[in-house]
Amino acid sequence: MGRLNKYWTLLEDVLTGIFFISGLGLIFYGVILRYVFKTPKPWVEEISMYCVLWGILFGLSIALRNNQHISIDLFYDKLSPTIKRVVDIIANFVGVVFCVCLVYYSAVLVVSTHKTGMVSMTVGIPMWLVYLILPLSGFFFLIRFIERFIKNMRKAGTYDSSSI
Amino acid sequence: MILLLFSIFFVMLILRIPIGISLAVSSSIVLVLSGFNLSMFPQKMFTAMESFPLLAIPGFVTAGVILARGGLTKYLINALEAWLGHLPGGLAIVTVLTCTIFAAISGSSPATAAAVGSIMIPAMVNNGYDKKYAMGLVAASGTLGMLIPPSIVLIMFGIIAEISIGKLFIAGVIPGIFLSGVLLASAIFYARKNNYKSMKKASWEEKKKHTFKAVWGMLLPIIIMGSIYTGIATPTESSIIAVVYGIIVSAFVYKELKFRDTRTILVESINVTSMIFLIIGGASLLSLFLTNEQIPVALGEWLGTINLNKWGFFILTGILFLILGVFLESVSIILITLPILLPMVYYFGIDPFHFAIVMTINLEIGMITPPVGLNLFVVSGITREKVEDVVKGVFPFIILLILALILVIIFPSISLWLTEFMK
Repeated sequence: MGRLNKYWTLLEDVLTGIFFISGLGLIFYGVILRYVFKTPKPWVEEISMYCVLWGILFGLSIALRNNQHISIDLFYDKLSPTIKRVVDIIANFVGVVFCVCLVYYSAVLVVSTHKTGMVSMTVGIPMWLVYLILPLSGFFFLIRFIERFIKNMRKAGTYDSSSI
Repeated sequence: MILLLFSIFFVMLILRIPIGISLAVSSSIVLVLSGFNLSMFPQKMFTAMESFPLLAIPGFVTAGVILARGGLTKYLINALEAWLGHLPGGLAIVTVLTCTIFAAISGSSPATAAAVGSIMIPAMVNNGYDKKYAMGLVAASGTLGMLIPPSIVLIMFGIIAEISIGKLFIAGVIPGIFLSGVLLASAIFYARKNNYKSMKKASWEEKKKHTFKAVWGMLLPIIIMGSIYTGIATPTESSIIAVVYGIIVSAFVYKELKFRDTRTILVESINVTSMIFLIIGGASLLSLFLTNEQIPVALGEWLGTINLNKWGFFILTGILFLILGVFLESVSIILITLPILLPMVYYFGIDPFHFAIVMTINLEIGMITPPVGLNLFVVSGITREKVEDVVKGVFPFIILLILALILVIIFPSISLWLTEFMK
């Protein structure tokens, strides 16, 4: 389990890193083109935007892994350990349901966009390809929620409650 | 219907479900009940994130992470200490000024408090400062990160209100310096009253050495604001310039950044960015619901029937932000309230740039008001002290910031004067 988790973590980081870093890099390339070589390329802006967005959406599961999605501890902190566990189970169950819906309905979106053949405004990338990140990131997000859900079912308090 | 929406939302918040998901799920439920099809929501959420100006958020977050890791903060503190450490309250002055300069590079308050606090709180305590005071000062000065441009809150405001983010940044400059000045004055006053000992005067040699080292970091705010003010770069572009400059300085001049740090920086930056973007996606469904129910229009009509003037509006929104600030963090508050408040801002003839600054200072105060002030938790996390103790230290600063806020409300020109010169 530990080993699998390590590789999965690496996969999340690599996927996020590739898109996030190359996206930011492309924006910088765009700046250089515009101000140094005076030859702005409109495609740079669009491609870099989608790259960074792909990185950010893959990153949803990273932020969940590190307990970085802001939630409210105000009431939670006052609960007894047993109720805390129940709350954790419900919360992660809602997360699982949310992700399942996200994966399903965005897959529907990808298929329907593929049929209509919609393309992006400047470059003409097929939009179904762009939207593909939604089910993909939803899947990675789902895995992390399932992981937490299983941990909750086994025993309480396996991940710490810091949310900052 | 709207009552149902908010009940579901609050139940989900109590269950400690992430705010972004709470927003998305509660809005989806009421939208489906009013006849929308679930299948259009993923696209709606994606469209809300699909904006080039929004990319200034990952940009400035990354710049802040690099700065905190790459030694720029440390050298900045050394240089300021060499120049100002011997004054009464020297370390407190250095704390406020470092926060001000760090705020001019990073876009968020917790980042500012964390970066400066981890160095300055121990330093102040070692020099005999009251620990509660030191924690309060860092928590309060850290909030400057939100107001002094670049600012994530102002980026969100500009996108929602469809006004220039660059001009919003410029509007934040003078109020930011003003607040920083208020904190400085209080630091000097407090240190004199308590006779805190100051550090020994640094020699010219030391001053010169530390200044040369820090000058690279000090150039960054000038590059960022200069490029935006002159219109050379958009905020998104200038955030990337800041990232690249930060990498070059930390890796090649300070040599504190190694290639293997890439992964840590990436993860730290993505943690914050993804959290914010999830909230943006979730809030887009809420705003779809609000527009569909014509809530802003209804509120506007209701406003016409009661006797409320501009000042009453400022007071009401101030109280609203304070209450919401108890539960939510700033990006969620902006995303939830601004679409509703914006028509009223125009109705009362308030300049949107002025309102943006007032709202930001309100949210700043929310960062240090218990029970859910993010900066309080950051400082308590650094010092391993109880949040209650940080609260005791921060209390006088809350009053100071409220007084400053009142002045900014009464005199719009504090916010608007600089923007008039912008191209």
